[in-house]
Amino acid sequence: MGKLAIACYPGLVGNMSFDFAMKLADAAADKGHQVSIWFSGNATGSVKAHQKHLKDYSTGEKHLQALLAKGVEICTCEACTVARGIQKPEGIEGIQWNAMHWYLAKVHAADRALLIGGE
Amino acid sequence: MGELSSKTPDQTLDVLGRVCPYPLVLTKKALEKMSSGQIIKVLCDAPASAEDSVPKFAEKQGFKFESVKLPGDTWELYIQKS
Amino acid sequence: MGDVKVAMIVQKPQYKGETSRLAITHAISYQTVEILLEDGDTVTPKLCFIGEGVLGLQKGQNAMELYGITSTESHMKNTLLVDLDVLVCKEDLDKYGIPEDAMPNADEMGADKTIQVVPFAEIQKAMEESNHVMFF
Repeated sequence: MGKLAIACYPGLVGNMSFDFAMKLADAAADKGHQVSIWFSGNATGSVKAHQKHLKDYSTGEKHLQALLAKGVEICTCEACTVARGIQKPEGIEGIQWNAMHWYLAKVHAADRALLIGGE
Repeated sequence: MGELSSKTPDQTLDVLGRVCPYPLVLTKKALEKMSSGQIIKVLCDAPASAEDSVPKFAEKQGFKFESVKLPGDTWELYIQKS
Repeated sequence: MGDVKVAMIVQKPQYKGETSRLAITHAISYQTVEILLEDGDTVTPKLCFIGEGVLGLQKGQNAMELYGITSTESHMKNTLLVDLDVLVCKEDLDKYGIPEDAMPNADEMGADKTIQVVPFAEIQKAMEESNHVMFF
């Protein structure tokens, strides 16, 4: 099985790229691949806990928790996240907080590196 | 006060308000120009840099490192180039 | 594992969103990834600007003064200071009427590298020679 490093940049709401990235990660994890997800830019807004899941909006927290339960590693860019007013204690449990080189390190180890979206 | 933080640094680098990758990149660049034994004091308010990146870098290089946490998520980081 | 080459291709314009700025800072972080890798392992990015990505690279920016944020020009100078290879597509600069000498340099900061304005074929070659290609 392979290692997949996904960087996800698009915001949680109003942009199906985020949903696509989560579906891709989910499918890869189900196939037995080792998946790492890096959130930067507007995607970091998805790591705030206690999101309300509505049918008419992209769903973040529920999918992220399901991915974490499958062993997917998820890390958010600390700088981008705090710039959006989200502090570490407010984040979804299990999601790591680190700097950009976290993603580059995953790219170094990955068989495939993808970058999805970004406004 | 620790051994490094009690001494007068040879250089002070202010990276307050800067976020990754700049705190570590600018620290590395400053250290490249310093001589062995010299001490740099870095003022930093990015937790990932202050608590992870910069200390890890110092350890990997074999440099002495000390951290002084100040109120309001600000750090003084002391690195002595070996 | 050695060196892993990454071509970072920036297509989105500066200042419209932050994606292009993130490309620059992600590329710069090749300087710090060593703390997470085994000794001797490296990541070597080539930062390439094509299409609308060449808009907003010109020198003389005042983003800090007007918006209170670090300008793209400043980020670009930092790429040169950390010895990054930065390629800008000549055909796209010509298309938008941007002269090559509008590109900033970091000579006053002691940088050894300069921005290279190159034909798209060079950027395509960079993509082909890379282990991974990312589009910003």
